[in-house]
Amino acid sequence: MSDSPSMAILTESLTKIYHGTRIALSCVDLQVEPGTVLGILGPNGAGKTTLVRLLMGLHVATAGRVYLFGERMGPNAAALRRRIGYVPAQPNFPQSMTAVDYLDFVGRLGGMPRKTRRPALAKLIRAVDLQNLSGQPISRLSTGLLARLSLAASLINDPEILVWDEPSMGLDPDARRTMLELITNLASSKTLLLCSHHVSELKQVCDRAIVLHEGNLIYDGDVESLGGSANPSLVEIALVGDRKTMTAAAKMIDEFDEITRCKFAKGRMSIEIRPDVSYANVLAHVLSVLSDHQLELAELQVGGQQADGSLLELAMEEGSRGLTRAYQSVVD
Amino acid sequence: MDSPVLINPWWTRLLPVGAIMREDLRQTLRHWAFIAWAVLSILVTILGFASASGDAATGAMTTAHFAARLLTYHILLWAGFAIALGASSLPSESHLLGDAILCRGISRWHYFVGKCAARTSAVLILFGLLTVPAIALAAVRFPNDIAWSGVGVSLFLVGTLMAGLTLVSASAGVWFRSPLMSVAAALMVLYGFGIVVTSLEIESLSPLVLAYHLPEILRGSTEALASHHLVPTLLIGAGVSLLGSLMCFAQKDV
Repeated sequence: MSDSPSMAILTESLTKIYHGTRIALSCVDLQVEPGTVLGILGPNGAGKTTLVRLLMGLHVATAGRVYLFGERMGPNAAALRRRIGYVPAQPNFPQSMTAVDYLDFVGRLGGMPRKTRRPALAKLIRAVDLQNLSGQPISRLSTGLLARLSLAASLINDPEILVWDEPSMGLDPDARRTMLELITNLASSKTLLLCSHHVSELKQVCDRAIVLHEGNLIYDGDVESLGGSANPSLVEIALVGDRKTMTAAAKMIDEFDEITRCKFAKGRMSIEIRPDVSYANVLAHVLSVLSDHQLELAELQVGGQQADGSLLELAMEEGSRGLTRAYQSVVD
Repeated sequence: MDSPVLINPWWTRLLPVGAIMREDLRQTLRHWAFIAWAVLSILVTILGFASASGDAATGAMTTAHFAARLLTYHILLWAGFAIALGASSLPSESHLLGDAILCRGISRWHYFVGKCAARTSAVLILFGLLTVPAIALAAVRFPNDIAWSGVGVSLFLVGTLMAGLTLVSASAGVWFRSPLMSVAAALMVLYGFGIVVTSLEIESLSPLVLAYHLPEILRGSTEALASHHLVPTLLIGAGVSLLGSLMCFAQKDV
């Protein structure tokens, strides 16, 4: 039991080091009160997904602890996990199942008896507008439909905490708007943790935000205080396809003279275009490379919000005071 | 915000294990490799029966000999499929383990037990469906020299052997992400064990010696079992390896 059982989520010096070499998360202390809508921001590789997977008990912390409602979370904390609805950044499903099969399966994994499971899944299938495709194998569903199915799966056992990692990825603008409305509705009764690259999106729904940078928690406070000016030279593309092909395409794009930098991680490509060239031409070349590699676009955003002024400033400030912070933590 | 108090019947705690077992069994029984194994086994059993019918007419084949031959196929040949089926159980789902399954209200042991139970059931279902009708038919068609208690003991021995091999192989799956690597490792270790104990003439652990004694066990004599320890050794090995693998699996990032 933790000292603060009233907290929905509590982490103490949460640290994750992969293979003893890569520090993905460093001493993160977090307290989330029930009913909070918390936004988790940060660029690719900042540690957002690692934090979420530690909260879910999918990864084992190198040091530190996670408590949910005062109980310690871990790989075998099934009862605690039943109180969380999770949407992963890139949902994977058993391809041979249908949407109904999968939701039924998730309900059974959550220990729901048939008499409560069946009505819940029927309601959710209707709510996410999958009723016409509910009998189709999951392998035939588009990225947008998979995102909706993932949302439905996270809600089936009416959990108290929702942890949604990039929930709007792959959704069309209409579905994204509906999802934001859904979040607003859910916020009245649940604790929500939302990971996103989009500051603007989080501003609409969150009452608090944290920013992660290179595994460090560099901001924890009011979401309104974070700026939102977009950087027009930054293009973000979410892709669907084979990981090796995506990496090969990213490598090819990175070699363009007009591009300062091309980063690829977790299905997202961040491209920074030189300011003195035509963005439209460069983008056309980029899209042609992606098409040649037979990659599908799940999302394209010109003027990436993740690199907006305030986040960059926070990151730079953190970089400059890293040593001071490290010293302070030792002294404390 | 107070958390709701959920009062569910006690058996709902077993629902996750049942869900994993049911889903895995459904997928395994529909998988091309399992169907190919089943078809091949049926064909071999039918061919074996046809060939034995000819020998039975000359008096050279009895039910005990036919049943022993059939069970020997399982010990030496079909055991390879059981090993492959067990070893591929966890790695075959490694790509969706975290995001689709273990992020739900399920513990690692629920998942592991469900998978092991499903694969073992698949092996035993096929084993039962192949051997029981074939031996019953042989008892009707061939000179009957079997004791039904002996048949029960033999089926139990070979079935337990197959289940033990499946479980040991399933525990190997924890250590590999690739099904191919896991299957190859399990086949090498388990067949390697069989070859080593046979070549070192450790009779009490040799699968060949067990196969050799099957006709007399089928006739109702269980004296040979007193000196044969393969099945209990395998079960102890399976228990230890399952425990070790479960401990490792419980600390693994998925």
